[in-house]
Amino acid sequence: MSQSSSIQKIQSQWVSKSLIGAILSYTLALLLVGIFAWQGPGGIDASNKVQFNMWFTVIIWLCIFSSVYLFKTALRAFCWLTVLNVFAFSLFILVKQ
Amino acid sequence: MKVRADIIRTYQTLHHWTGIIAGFVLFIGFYAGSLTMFKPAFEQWATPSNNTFSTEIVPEPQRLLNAVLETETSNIRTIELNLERGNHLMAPISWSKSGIKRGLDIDQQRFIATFDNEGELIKQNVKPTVVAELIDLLHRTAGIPGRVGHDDLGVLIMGGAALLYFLALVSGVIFLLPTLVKSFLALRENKGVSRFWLDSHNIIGLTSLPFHLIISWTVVVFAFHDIVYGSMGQVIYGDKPMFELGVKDERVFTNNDLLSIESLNKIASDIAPQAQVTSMYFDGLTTPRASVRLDLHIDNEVMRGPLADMLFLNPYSGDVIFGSVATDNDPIWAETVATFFAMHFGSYGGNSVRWVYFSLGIFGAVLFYSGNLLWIERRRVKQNKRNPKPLSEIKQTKVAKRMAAATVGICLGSIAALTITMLFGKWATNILDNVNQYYIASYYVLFICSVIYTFWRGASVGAMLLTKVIALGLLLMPLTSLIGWIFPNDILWLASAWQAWVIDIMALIFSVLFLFMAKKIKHRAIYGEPDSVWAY
Repeated sequence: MSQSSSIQKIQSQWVSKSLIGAILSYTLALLLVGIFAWQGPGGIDASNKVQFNMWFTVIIWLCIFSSVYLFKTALRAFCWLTVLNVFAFSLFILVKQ
Repeated sequence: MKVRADIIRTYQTLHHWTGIIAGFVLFIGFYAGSLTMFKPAFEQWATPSNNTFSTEIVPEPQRLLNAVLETETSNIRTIELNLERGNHLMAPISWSKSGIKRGLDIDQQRFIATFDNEGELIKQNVKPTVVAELIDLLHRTAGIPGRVGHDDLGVLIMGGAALLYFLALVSGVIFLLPTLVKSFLALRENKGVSRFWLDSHNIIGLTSLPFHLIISWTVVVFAFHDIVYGSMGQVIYGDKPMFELGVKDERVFTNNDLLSIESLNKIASDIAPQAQVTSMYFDGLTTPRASVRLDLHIDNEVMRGPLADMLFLNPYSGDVIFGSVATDNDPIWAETVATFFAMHFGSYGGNSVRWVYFSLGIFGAVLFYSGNLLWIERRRVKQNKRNPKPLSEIKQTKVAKRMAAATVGICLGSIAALTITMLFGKWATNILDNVNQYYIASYYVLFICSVIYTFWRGASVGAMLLTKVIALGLLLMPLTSLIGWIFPNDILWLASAWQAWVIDIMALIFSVLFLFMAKKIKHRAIYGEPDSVWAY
């Protein structure tokens, strides 16, 4: 029991996790907002919507960024966020057409 | 609520380090931000009464505007016209031939004018005080000078600090969760000083959490919006235009072609029927970039700017350039974004919300100050546990000492420097030719001296001196106004606007608070734990 919990403990890895949080959660936020920008209410041409989108990119980025330290290792964080990015990117390309 | 121990430890470390790194900058941003709630009052406080014309009476605006345009033969670039009784502006109308720079401009000159009792135009050349802009600059940049591209370096650093601050908020909440029910709102005075500080820190942090989340989000946006827009253009928008470019009007106009005040008002009331136009700000007149900004005041409603909503029109054709109120072709977006701005500026419930924001800002500053102190105390406790020694032999580590000195020197030093600078400004305005040139130098010299002194003499002595200096400076502010009132003279004056008296009254209240703080610090230095950084 004690051994298994010590294996599963979160490793700090501050620098790598922070970098992943800064970059990959930003691209993920951008892609999610991109989907909203094209398919959300008003579509891509709605006037002034770009400002709203910019504000939302930032808050989504910050939220994902602050949860990145929950991953057990930086590698896991990297893999998960990469998968989510790829998924969001595919969806974004799909809705853009 | 149960949270796994390793999650708590991780987020505790994250909270400590983000807090320590960002704390100083945020402290200055917060206390100065509190003061910016009352920028117009600071301007009124620092402006000699012979440099203003009363706005209690609003002369007929069209006649006033025409009279100014007639007397000024050369082209005027910028005109500010007041339409509201008792407005914060310094005169019914003011203008500049060269245009007015945004932000802190120490060489700024303006003409102000009004009608005298006979209906004749009287005008005067004035140098508007920069004191409110200095406070605003400290708020936005924490006083960090320099520029990167067309951004202030300080703004970018503040944005980075706000990002860390968001992480600190989230992590603070996470590691408080398990003890939240038990210790929320518990203020334990009998369990030692540091427990008391920790409880206060937690109460302030949790009760004002929504405010702090909003502030950190908005500050990140204010600092990095260009970068975000840039990447949005690359990834999301591609060839699609992100901003509607107004059709550039190539026609050349003269100021005889200006639309009448009445027709400008009509355009505004068609767009926002419930709004009152409080002032008009003409800029870039006689150039192709000419615009007029109508400040729209909607009482107790969400406004995008700190003081008003705005509507930019072409002053010759009446075309709408930009507006922060909802229009037919944009039902929600601009207004939603205006809400985000308003939540930062506290401009959604009149002056009562401004006072709430003022208090939240001051408490925010206390949050960072107490956070730093807690960190220093914790290090001492940890160190003692690792290596138990009798109290008399324990020495503070260099890191703890320096951190304490930096906390005191930077935080209290900034307040002391601003207080004395404002006081100096009031005394020197009527003596020096252009007092604005000395404001910045005065602030930085005093600030740097405070930091050096605190590092030299240590946190405890530094804090004692600085709190006393602040208390004295704040006390002298209302006294200065009082002298001007009782013994009318050419140097000092009592401002005619009541808003400026509020500044004096608040200065007095805070003077007492800082005096109390000074007493507490001295008491702790003598009778507190001898191994603390706060001991002599």
